[in-house]
Amino acid sequence: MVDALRRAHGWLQAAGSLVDIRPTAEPAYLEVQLASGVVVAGRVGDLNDSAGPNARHARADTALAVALEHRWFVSELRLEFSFHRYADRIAEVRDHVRDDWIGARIDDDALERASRLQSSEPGARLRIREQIGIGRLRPIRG
Amino acid sequence: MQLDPEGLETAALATVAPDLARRRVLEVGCGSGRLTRRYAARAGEVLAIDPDEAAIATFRTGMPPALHKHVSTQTGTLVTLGVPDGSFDVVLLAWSL
Repeated sequence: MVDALRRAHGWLQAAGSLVDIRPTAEPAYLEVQLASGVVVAGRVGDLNDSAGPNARHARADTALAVALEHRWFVSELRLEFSFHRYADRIAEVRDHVRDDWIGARIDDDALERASRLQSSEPGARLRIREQIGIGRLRPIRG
Repeated sequence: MQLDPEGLETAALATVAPDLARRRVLEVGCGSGRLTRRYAARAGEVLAIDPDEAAIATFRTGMPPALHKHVSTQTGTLVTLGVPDGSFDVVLLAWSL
């Protein structure tokens, strides 16, 4: 990851920008949107402590901190937003996490809770909420 | 699965990188082009790379004709990409660091 940032630094024009968009180290949550509000049913976790999205995002934060420490870049702007993935059925959520999120897992209890909540109200929507950070960094030369 | 129907990601990118016109952009980790399709029309030129050959093939097949003049794709990573220093105005790490 640090090597990727070093290479990106070299490929940029002096007045260029590095834009880094990725999930924060905060876990993603399985939620159900009800008429009365949003209820958290569970979270997306790592399969183990060293593999999985949460550990990966923490490593990316560390790599970026190293690049800033080396003064390859200076941070200009950073903001966060929520990224939502909506599903019609709980099976869609389960398959999505299993097939598309490397090293991630979601507990059966959370899936069951979400399924119960969804069926409790017509129009309830399932979603996974992920907190995303986006930053703009300017390369430092010399 | 419907991803970011609210367009919050597109809005955030527009805030952080408001001026992409005439800029040369390297997007790292483009996958099948989900994010690329949301901003490429306002960029000068985009080179979108990803190590997943199948994803790049899907991207090429499904790319809207209007983007053909803006976007080129390549299977690869930052390590395998051979370009001279100073080649890009913007390097976009798209969920890839």
